[in-house]
Amino acid sequence: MLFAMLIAAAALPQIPFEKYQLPNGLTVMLSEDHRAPVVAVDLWYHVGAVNERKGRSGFAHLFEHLMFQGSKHLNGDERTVFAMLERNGATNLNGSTDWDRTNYFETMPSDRLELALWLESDRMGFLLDTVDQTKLDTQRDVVRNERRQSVENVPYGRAEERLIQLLFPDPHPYFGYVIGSHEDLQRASLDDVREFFRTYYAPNNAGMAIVGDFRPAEVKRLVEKYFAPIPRGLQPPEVTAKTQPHTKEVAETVRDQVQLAKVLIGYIGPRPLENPAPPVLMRMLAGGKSSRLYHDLVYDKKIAQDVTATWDPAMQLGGLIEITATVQAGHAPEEVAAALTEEVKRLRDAPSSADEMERAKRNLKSGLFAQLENVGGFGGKADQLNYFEMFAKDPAAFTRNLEATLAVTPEQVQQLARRYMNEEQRVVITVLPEQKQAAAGGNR
Amino acid sequence: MRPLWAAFVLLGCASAVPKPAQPPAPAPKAEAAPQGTPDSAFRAQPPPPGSPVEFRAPVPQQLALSNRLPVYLIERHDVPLIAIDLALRSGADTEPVGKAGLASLALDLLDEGTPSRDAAAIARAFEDLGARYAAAAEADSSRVSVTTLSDTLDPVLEIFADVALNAQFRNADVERVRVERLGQIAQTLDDPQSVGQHVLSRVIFGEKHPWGYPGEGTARSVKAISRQDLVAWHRAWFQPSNAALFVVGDTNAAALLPLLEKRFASWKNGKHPPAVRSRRAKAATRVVTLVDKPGAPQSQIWIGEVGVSAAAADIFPVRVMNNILGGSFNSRLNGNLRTEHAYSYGVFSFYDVHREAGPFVAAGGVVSEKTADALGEFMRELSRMKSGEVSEPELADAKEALIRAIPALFASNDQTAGAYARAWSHGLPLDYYATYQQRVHSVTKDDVARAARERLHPQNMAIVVVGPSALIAQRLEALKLGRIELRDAEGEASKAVSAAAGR
Repeated sequence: MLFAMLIAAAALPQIPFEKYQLPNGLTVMLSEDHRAPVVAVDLWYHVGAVNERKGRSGFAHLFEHLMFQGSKHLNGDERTVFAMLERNGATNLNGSTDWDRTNYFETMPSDRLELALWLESDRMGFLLDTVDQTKLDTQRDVVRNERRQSVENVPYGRAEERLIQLLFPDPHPYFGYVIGSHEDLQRASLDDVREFFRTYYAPNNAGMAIVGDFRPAEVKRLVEKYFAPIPRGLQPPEVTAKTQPHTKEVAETVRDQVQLAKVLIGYIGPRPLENPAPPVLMRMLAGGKSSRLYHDLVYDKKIAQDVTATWDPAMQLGGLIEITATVQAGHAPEEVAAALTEEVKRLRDAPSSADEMERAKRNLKSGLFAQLENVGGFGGKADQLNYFEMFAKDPAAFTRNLEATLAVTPEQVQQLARRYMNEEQRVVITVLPEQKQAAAGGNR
Repeated sequence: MRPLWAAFVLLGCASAVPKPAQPPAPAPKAEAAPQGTPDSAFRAQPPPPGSPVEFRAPVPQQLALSNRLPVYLIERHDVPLIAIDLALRSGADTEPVGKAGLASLALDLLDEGTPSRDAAAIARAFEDLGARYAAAAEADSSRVSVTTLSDTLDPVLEIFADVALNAQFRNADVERVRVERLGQIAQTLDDPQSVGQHVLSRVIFGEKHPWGYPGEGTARSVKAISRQDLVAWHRAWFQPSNAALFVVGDTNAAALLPLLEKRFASWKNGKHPPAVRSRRAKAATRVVTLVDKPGAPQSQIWIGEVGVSAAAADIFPVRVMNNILGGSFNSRLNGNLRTEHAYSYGVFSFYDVHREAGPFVAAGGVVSEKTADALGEFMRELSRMKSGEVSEPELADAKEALIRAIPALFASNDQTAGAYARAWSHGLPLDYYATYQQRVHSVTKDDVARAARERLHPQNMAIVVVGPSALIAQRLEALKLGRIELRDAEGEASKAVSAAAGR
């Protein structure tokens, strides 16, 4: 109790920022942080798998790869682009494609910030000058290798994909699992590339966060110089896809080259910022060894090898809630599924204790502090600003959202479970080992 | 959790960055955007750097407790967090033959029970305070770490010290964690990337060396570890004379030392730990080891040999050389296998450095159809590198990249504590990071050429391929890189299949 009070008094994680918009619609967010001589640049284009048309699953991600193949003034291929950045000391550089957004980021030494702005503005303004069939074909193959490596040749990879397919059935744009199918990737053409770029890669469909060791006046001048000349694009079309709620449980068995069975349960949860309770509930279920699922299934009953519970906070058509447990050798997946079902029922049936709520919140808060030690990269300060700009049109929503999360009541957690986590709303996937003899669980 | 789909990955690679710009080529004329961005002269060339920023790696203050346990402190007050690392100079290297996984199992069991707390109470105690605890054994070191809000340093230290010093290794906890570990090992055997890595280690270091086995052990070795083994291991290696504390964050020496003294001063040295001898087998003639993964759409290719030690005289030329070869996105290996041939999502190379020489590894996943072609390209790049031929731009870019990546090592408190704990474990001086950039800077082309010639032995490197044998065995044999030997995913010679493709 004493400690609880001490921590409650401690400051909340914060990200001071200044936001403005260029006449062409590009939203710019600046946040000074002089702890280290580095600056993170992070562009979020508000486009992702959700914007793919039928028959083009995986295209948003394939397109992301093409953004690394050079542009008019940085002519070459991905080696040229990475070389330019890495030679200048960029760290934490990459791009990533998600359900609803695509981002490009690098952390530069402070004296090389201008180079990142030059490069990012060149690919925003001049990408199509150098894209050609060879680059498309090469990256198509690279992406298909990525699919093989991350979905097809990784334990439980296909089950994760199948869970999404069953939760968001075709033609839902999430059906393609962002990575897409080989068939659809094969269909992508240069015309698709041009159309996609013109439709979605415009300054008015992007946010740019710059976080780190810089002087605001100087950075504003540079942003103006490199980005202001890029013309505003048309307003991208609205996302019209709808998510059908599930009213009857869907269960499926998947065979995989694994030794241990696994149970995956998925629900369609709240959209971004719709409800502050999911992070608290997920932490309570499977965050750390004192969590309910770990304690019950791993520590106490010893029927599971590991447990997870997550909510995806960045899906505008409904955020995936996913609970998984790998079945301990010598136990049956049915046993584990029943235990998971029971734990979720407990969440619906009774409010959690104040003690448990406090523990979950405290760990969320300390985790966030640690996350904000990084200016760039996944989940760092720049990403946070972009997330809240994209989904709330206001980076200050970071603080409001945190406050709301820390104020969540046991009743709110219970209501969340009652609204989204009923058995008739779920998809259950059971992964079984391909070979019978391994199924018996060979390690005892 | 679902990964984000990223443009590239560099796996298991400690170093950062890369390589030369291409000469400006005329831009092919494609059609312009509907309302294209007007071009300007200032876009034609990349902007020059601003006034250079000097970066000085933080150097820790050197303190000590009354029992002579060294304490290294770096103050950082911008975030109310403190990272604490207790480092030990012993890890998997101390494991007896047949007991692989002993060190990591011991570290896993620290927070499973002390005289005053059971596992659930420990977890709850840390989590009640919002503290994040972790412990792991590495090749020749171990680390117990915790990150806490600065307000709760004292109560967190009490639990932390209890766990690190008073672990009980009760039978029930040992058995529970053993079962979990066996499950983890089973899962690892399902993952072709881990299989490639582990089987390569076995081939390089042999049956008698602890590094010939995965850090988590094998199903057989983990079953052979007794409670007595764990207790004895903890007693032998968890001693102040074999340890150091690293503290980074929102505190200072005056506040910190009394708190540490209270928790760690009673920790006494026992019998001095026996010296560890390396038992590496002599390098055998090269074989190509094939682990069958029927129907796999990708093959994992893992190539390697014994590399260099952390304190080797030529460690900096070696780092520069590896950066050019496979240590960055823009390396020769990735450029060849991904960008030119599109065989892969990404390939890489690294030197795993410890007090003694760990492995050099070049590896990656390639589309199964092209396994033999890809392996051929790997070997070509290794031989080309060994020739020592390096261009000025390659050299300059690799050095610049290594130099400029250093500040990122110190981005967060726990990264900073980890960086120094690692350096200390490797026996490196305290000014290691402060002089790192200068030492990279002074590497010459000749140094790199010499490092490549002396350190790389492509003719003798072990080769491991994890992939669909039916599709690839014959084509691998046609490369004539060595006899094909079949092993199972645990690295054991596989009798059943060896007749089919063996010779």
